[in-house]
Amino acid sequence: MESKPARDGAAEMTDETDADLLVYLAMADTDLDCARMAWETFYRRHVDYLYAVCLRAYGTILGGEAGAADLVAETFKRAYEHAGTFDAAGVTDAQQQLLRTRGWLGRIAQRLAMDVLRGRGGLKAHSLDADQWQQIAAEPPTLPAARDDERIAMVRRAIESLNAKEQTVIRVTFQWYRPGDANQRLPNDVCEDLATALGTTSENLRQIRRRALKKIEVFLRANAPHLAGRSKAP
Amino acid sequence: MTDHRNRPSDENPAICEAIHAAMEHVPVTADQAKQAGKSLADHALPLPAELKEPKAIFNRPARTATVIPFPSVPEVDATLARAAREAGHLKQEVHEQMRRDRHAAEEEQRTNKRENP
Repeated sequence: MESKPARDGAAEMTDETDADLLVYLAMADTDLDCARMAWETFYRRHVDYLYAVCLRAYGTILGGEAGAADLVAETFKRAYEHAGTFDAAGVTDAQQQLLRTRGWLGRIAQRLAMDVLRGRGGLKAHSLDADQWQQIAAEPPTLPAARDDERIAMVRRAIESLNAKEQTVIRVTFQWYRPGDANQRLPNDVCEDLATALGTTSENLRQIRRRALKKIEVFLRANAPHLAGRSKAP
Repeated sequence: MTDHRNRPSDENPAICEAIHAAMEHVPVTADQAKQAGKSLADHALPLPAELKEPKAIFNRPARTATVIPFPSVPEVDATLARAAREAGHLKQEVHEQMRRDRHAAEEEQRTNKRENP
């Protein structure tokens, strides 16, 4: 956006729904002042939330607070540039729209983060293509929550017991894990990029992952056998 | 593109599911966003200065890249130190690290030139 001073009217928009704010943003070509006010309201409404969830999910693998801030900034830029792709899906309740908007921002952030992890040259150089925006527009079904505090805490302890390289491999490769899918696949370019970044080969990377998973399994069997799950089928 | 070698068919699915469940994910649905909002309610984080101003993100200086903070590899460091002392043979992984370091330095130099022509 240009640095032309906007009307001091962002406060006028605080009651607008996210869908309306995004419409104003999408119309920036015809009413830039209105878009500026909408942007300020939209940004302030979501930035604390988005930063917190990005730091929590990607802080470790994207370089801590600075990496999370980069991701948030780029996510907001993409949201501004593609405001017209947001689909409220007929939801009119402001609170539901807010949650839906946060899911949309989360999908943008997730896409960007995964592409950074694929080594596509960093956030600044990357742009999402049309089919990715189509996927981002549609909200995926929510899987039944199977979160169990004791199990989660124990698995996190198991991951933290790994060495730094093993933790990185697990944290990055599990970004591509699809719950409930029997045919898990890690894209080749992810495998190769991560191997290069770690100064090893793709084959060694697979070995590191296998070793790390085995260590986690052993840790869980030793510390919480009831949580370790079944052994692999013969 | 995927590779059959990347199919973790020999992995314990229960362990993999548990790891996935234990990892933090960015909420991508309204329901997940609602849950995350609740869990964050009591844990307010200070916003970095660079994110405080709504317009500032459009004028942020370009970073060279967002990188995964990889730890130093002791074997590689030791080999480099020994090679420096004895002018000995460098292992393949050392050559690879040197190549990556050189690439990162060149990229940084190019970025600096673009930002400060």
